[in-house]
Amino acid sequence: MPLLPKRVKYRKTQRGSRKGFATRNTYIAFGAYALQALERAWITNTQIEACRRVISNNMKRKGKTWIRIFPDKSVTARPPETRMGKGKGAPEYWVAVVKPGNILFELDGIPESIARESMRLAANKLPIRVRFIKRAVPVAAKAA
Amino acid sequence: MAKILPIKVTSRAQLGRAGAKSTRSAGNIPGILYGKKTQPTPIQINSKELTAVLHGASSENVLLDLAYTHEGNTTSRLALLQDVQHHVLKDYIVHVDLHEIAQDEVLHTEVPIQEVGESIGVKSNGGLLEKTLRSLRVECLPRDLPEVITVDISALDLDQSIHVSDLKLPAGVTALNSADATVLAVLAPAKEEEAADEGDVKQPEVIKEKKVDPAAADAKGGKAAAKPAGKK
Repeated sequence: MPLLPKRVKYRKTQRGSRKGFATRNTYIAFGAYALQALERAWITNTQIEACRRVISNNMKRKGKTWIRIFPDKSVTARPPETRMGKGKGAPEYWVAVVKPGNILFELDGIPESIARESMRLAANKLPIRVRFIKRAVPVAAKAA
Repeated sequence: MAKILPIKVTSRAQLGRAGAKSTRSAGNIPGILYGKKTQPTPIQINSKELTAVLHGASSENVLLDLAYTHEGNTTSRLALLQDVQHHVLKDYIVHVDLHEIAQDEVLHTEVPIQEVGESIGVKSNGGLLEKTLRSLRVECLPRDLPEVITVDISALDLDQSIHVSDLKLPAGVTALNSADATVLAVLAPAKEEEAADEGDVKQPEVIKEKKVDPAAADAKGGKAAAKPAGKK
């Protein structure tokens, strides 16, 4: 089931600003590989779920996945063929506000080739350009 | 032991956002030098030189032997690279924090933890190696600072873990993390539960303020309940 807040203070939100670069959630916190956004967008909960499924299928239930964004913003829409006015529409779907630099997904416990392929498949489900990044490995241990 | 890397540092007169921007456009990285006995001093480092120094280092928390130039005078100082800020997308270094320390002064920093070998639990039993702690916060003298802390995980089987207390630290190095904190664990392969049907997508519950029923408050008695009634 797509991600959704359990409880909210207000059902409807204003659109807000999407300008600037991400200042939080910009580094790999849990896994070894990550998918980083290069553009700004509202990523819907169904898009996040599609990415999760394709990653999970490609990893064949090995390794671990972290979803670093959460759709906590509701987007309203008016019913079709309705006249203007009569108040704001009903909440239609939920989105996560993503800015350039935000980490979207993280993976660990799998070889890099599988991680790259999983992230490529996930990137196909997203409306923005993204890039694959990996955590720096200590050099002293690399030589060992 | 960690190497002490030499680098040239000069004092910086251009301050603020505009000053930092012009410093960067001149091929330098703006930074700040501070310490227990040092007044915070704006500095600049040649970006190519800093990149070359950090290239090949095990982490960004390295010891630097500064050749600090101020008004034509050059002095030698020992500093720890306390913090490095990168551009969020382009990855270049935006700013550095240098923490001046004395040779006989105990320092606190983070040292990366690196596992060695392949765990039996992962290799033979299909487990997942979970790395909970990737760097260890340590306390030591500058000369004792290790480059990395290695952990041998080859004997680690399913549902076994390594804690901070199990790490073999070099002499003179003390871990500041909790001794029972987990560093690495081998988890049994997880059985993924299938997601529920997408049919009915529930809407979130809206948080509302609870209204106090005056009759129920009177029934309870007590001063707290009587107060709001008196106000009315």
